[in-house]
Amino acid sequence: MSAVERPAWMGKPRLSTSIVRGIALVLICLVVIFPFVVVVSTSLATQADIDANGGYVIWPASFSLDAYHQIFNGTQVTRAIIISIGITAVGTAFSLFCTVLAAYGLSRKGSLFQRGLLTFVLITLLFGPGMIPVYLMVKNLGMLNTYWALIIPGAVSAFNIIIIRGFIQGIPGEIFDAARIDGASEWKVLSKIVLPLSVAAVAVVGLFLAVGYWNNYFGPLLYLNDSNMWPLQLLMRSFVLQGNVSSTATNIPGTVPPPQQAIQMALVVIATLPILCAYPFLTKHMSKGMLTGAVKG
Amino acid sequence: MTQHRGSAFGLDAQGMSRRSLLKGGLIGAAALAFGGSILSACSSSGGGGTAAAGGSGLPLAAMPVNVPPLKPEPFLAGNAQGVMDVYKSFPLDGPKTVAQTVGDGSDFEFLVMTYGQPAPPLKENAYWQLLNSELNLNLKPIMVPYADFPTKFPALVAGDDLPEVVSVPMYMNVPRLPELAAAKFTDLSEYLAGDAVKKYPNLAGIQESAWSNSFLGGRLYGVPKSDPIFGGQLYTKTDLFEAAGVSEHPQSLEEFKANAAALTDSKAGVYAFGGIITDFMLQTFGVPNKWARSTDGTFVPHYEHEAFVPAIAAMADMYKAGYFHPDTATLEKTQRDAFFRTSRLAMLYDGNRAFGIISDDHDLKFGMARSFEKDGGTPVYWTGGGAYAITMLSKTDDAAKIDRFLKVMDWLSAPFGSHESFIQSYGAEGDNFDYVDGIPVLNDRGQREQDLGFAYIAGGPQILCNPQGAPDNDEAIHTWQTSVIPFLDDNPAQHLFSETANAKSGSLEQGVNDAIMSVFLGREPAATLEKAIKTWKTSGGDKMATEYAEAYVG
Repeated sequence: MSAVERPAWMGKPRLSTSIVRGIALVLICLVVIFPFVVVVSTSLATQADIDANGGYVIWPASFSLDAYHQIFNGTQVTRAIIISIGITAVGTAFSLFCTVLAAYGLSRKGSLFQRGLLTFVLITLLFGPGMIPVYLMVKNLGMLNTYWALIIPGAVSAFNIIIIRGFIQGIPGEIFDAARIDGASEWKVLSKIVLPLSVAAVAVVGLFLAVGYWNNYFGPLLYLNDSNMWPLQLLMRSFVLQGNVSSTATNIPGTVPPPQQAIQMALVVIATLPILCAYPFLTKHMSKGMLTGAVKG
Repeated sequence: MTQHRGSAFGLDAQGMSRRSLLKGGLIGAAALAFGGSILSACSSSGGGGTAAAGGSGLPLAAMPVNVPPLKPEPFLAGNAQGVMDVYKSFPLDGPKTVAQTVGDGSDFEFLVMTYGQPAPPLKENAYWQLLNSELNLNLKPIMVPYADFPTKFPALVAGDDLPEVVSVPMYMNVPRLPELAAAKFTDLSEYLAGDAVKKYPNLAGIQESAWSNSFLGGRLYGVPKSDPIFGGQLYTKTDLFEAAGVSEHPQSLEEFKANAAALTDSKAGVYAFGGIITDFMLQTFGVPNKWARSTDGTFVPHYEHEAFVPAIAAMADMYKAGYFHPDTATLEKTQRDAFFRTSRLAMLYDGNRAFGIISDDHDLKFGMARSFEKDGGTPVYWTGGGAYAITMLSKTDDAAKIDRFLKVMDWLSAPFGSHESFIQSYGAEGDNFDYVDGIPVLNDRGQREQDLGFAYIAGGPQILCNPQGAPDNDEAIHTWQTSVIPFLDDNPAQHLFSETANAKSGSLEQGVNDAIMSVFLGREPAATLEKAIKTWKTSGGDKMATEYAEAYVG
């Protein structure tokens, strides 16, 4: 009996191959981790360290929390974080609700105007509305200077609908038939059967949506005139921009400029932290969700 | 006296005060049709005349008269040409310059571009509360970060959502500003032109170079925020110059290059420069300030000056010789500043207010190179536009509303040493500042609460006063400013309006700037510049010249 032929990628690699792979992996990890280290180190560095290193610090000679102290000195950043969390939570929940409903409706053959509505949704992938028309629409809906302006206009994305619709279409039709025979309503089918079976897709789309809401600075910039309503990203942008201007900045008598790079990097840390914390809990759904629709069989 | 350069290719040296009235509107057929009458109007110093301004059917507005405000005796006196007064400390208990009540307790919503993080909300902001109380208004700022202004402003215009008061930075080059002003903002000529401005004494203290920016279509639409007339400076790191034993004030290009060689120590990571110094080199070679006006009335871009290409080539030679930091093309401003502070760059070319920021650092000793001509002749120094921004009032016929707006602008324009100026600079004692050795010093809260954008809205000539800064820096700046005054070179197109420039100058200049960078870095020969300039001309530069010539009738 001849030995079973194994594909190349299942064979035991030679030692040299393993070493090369190991080095390559370490290098790739370093490339990924290095910017994070620089960001965190610079956020903890003193002005002297930043000057000595030409702007960015790999490892500070002395650690300082001054940048964090300055950021959290006062209520602005704290308030902005709360606002961002609120917008992200409400926006993600609302968007997921609308997206799942739309995807379910469009996945079921026989839904009213299913084909026409689907075409209508797909067209929005090809043509963006443009900034000014959206602004005018938000204004005419009376949403300027409200948080709804950050949620309603972008609540439903055709891309997300297609992802979830594709996942729902992959659920065997017999399951739907069995549920209907048992007398389940459409709502019951969606909530008790479709959603539990679509957790991976919903989690991935939810993550996309949450990251989008968390990172959104353009909407607040356009629609929120009151700076006290600004979410973290827009506030962070004003901190970041501050360090790159001198010719027109005001000069406050008797003040030494703060270490702007440290403040900027500290803000990057603060803004990235929630996403970094949330990611590990969603990774188990990621691979399955991301592969949705990748292979048709 | 202002000295205009460009005689090398037949350019005249006329002043700007009259033509600046005609910014906007007077282009094309309208300018040709009304040109003669406008000249008549310009030639009279009084109010207006009979000519139509910018086709509006209204007489050309006169320049507001200048009545210099009473001010405390400076430590070093400035002058009318732009040298700034120097004060050693902020006078305490200054007089009130606005006697009457400014506001009526109503809301005062204003749009302003800012550079820092937004101020804390009203209920937590003692500075804001004090301003509300002093002005008897409920101030409602709409603060737009400077990088986002080009996005937010068009949206507000399109949505007809501009607030009551709008501050427009001049350098933002807002498209079709004269037309926008005519459509959306109040013509203030009746209240500000000529002697009318005297009703608001602090506005009368604003100098002509700043008011020149407020004329749109020949009418006065805004109150300016004055800017020093000085453009860029070449800052020098004193310790490096002392160590190298070279002068911070070279007299010729040869000496400048020799200094750069002496200052550069690449093994130690020390370089003469860390950023491209195009404008400085062009001035050294006697290239005029962006545009020059020939005796026949045509406008010639500085790109066409005979010394333009040689100046860039000389800069490229210096890069090739290794006097520039190897990362010059990619260094960010913050990195350049850090290198300069830590003596790894000997020279830094930056804007006119960088000295204020740098001079706050007690341990930093720096100087500023005086202008020089490449062969030791008479140098050139390019001036700026005279105003940072103009602030306009949304369209209204309500005289009381206009008066309230101008009273607020008057209060904001209070001169240094006044009660109003002190309030704006320091806020509330205890909450925003404390006295240290008899000198008011902003505390943390004071620094945090100040950025409501009021510093960018209106005001007359600026001064130098930095009691907590490095000693003698203000004097050094004053000395430097005095040194360049004889060599000031105005841009004759500075206050003229060209539709083509308004719409395309940014993208067209980028093409030339890219070519300059390629030549500077040695990637392309100097001849590339001529090709880029030709493209600039045919793509809109020639049209700009024509439009400026048509707009220039004063």
